[in-house]
Amino acid sequence: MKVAYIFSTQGHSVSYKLGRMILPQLEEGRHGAEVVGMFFFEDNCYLLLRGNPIGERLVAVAKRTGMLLMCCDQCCYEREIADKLFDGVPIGCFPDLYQALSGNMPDQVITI
Amino acid sequence: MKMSTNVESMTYKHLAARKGLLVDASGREGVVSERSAAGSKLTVPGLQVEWKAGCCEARRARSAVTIYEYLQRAFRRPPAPLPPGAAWCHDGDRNLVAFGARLECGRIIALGYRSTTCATLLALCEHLAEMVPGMTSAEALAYSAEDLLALHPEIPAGRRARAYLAVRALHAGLSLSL
Repeated sequence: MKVAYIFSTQGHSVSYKLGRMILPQLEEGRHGAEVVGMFFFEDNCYLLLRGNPIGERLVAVAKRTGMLLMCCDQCCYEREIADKLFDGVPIGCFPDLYQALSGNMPDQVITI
Repeated sequence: MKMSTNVESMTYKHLAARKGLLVDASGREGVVSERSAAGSKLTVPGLQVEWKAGCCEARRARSAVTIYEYLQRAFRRPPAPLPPGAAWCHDGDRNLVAFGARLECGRIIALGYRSTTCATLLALCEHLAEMVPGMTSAEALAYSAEDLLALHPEIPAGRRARAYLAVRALHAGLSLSL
């Protein structure tokens, strides 16, 4: 099964659910589903700020698997980090997300 | 350094017309706040521009109004009526933009736009809509996407094409109004 994650809520969304569950499982190849994309809203975008250690690991997984990583453009402009994300991590909105996923559509989109 | 009185009294809009500098949103006149052998400094809230020998040699400054702030202004702007037959410009990402201008004596006195809701594109259109009024049509037609992008280095590479679309639409709208 192919899934895409949308990290919408804040709090422990990325540091806990992503950083301690999903990411380690992806690194170990035992997540149980093929993750084709992740989209980040609001403060969750800080995960993909250059230098973030969890982001660094996630980008490494994405490079290896072809998984899409994308941050909300308005969220990044608001936080003034649009030009400070890891190389290859675009900003965008829903049309960009769907366009980017169109070649490898997920079966489920899971909002966390 | 030679600085004539009429340069001092120029509005930022005039400076913008000449060199693509940021215009204070309300079009307030700049104030020469400092002078030295190296140049002079104009200051308005949120903007500092330095130049060496008058506005024609002014250096481009990064906009103190961010893309996000322009986007917020765009959301608050009431929809502008466009002239009949407005020239819609589009790109490969299904974005559409049209500008409509009102000119008097060769100078743009009002500029409106409609755009799809890409955040970067909306913000850049809003920036143009605030900056361009006051320019002559020739000055606006000479204004380039590179000029606009120089004000917004925060736009990542993947979104810089939006500036080319916005400026292309501006030029198309102006051409229709001439």
